[in-house]
Amino acid sequence: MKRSITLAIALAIALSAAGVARAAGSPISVSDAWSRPATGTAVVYATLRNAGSAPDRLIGATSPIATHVGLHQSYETKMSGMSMSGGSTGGGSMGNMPMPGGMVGMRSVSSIPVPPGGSTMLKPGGYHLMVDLRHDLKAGDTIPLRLHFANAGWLAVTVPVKPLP
Amino acid sequence: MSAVQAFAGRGRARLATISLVVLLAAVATIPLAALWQAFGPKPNLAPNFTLTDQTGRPFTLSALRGVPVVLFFGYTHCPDTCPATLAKLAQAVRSSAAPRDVRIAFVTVDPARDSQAVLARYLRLFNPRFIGLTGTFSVLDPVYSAYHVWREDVPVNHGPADDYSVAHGAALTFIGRGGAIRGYGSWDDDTSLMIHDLKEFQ
Repeated sequence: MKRSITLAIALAIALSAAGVARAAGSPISVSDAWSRPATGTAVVYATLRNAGSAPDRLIGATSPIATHVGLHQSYETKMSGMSMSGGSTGGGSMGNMPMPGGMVGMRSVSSIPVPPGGSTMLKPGGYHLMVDLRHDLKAGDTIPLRLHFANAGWLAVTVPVKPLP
Repeated sequence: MSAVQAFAGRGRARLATISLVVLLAAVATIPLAALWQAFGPKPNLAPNFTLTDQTGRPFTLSALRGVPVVLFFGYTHCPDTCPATLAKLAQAVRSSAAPRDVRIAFVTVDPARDSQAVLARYLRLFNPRFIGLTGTFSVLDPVYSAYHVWREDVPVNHGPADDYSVAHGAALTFIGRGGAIRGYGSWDDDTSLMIHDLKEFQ
């Protein structure tokens, strides 16, 4: 019994050193979580893994340093079919220079699916967590975060704020 | 018909001929000029504008004639694509391959929340030389339309009642030293492509 507790602690230390968060007995793990220096609004990216055989989904997140943490998804609308030179706003001046007509937006989602035996990446331009900050974040700070999964329950993650490249 | 009448008649005919030639020449040059304007080479000057920068001072684009400028439209409550783009631009302008004097101007698509102070605090995260531009919708709307930037408030379901995101055009507009638009990039271009464009489109 004592031995298994020691083992569990050792395993927990090893996992946290590797930047992987996993609740005991949970098939869900979170790795490569990171954020950027931010004022007002921060982002969290991470990889969510599901080692189990049943689908799960992230349904919420909270942090003591945030007034609100939202589950978001960025999307891009390619407007290549739209003629940029035929508009009423004087687009003729664009000549034949191709203009990337993409429009980026962000929607809130009620959950982020994590397929069984698979993973979901929260990454720039896709799923991410939007964190409404109580204070600014600089490189080296961390975001204490609790992730709520529909089946796996709550999982604590410490997200490092990486310096800009 | 008397001799005088005949002379007058010839004179009228000559006048008519000259008039016709002049008219034809004029008619011929109008479409030529129009065609030249439409299809000929042209400097494609970046539409000028005056907005307010993050220090509260008026900023006029044409005042930067002589240095390359990159315009990017976004907003500070954008957690994902805007900071990702600004972080790459900050990295790109530090490259030895990028023109040393290039200026990056970030034009808000969310003037309701992006005051000068908010922009100043935000841009310091990336590069204090980045220019943050804001104003009222009445001065910003013509700028959005001149640069083909669509913007649209998108309500978000969670969080505070006043919370919304802004969908917006995410092109990078590269303006050369001569004040002409030299090319476009996209928010998701990688840093090496941005460095290439900074060099190519200066």
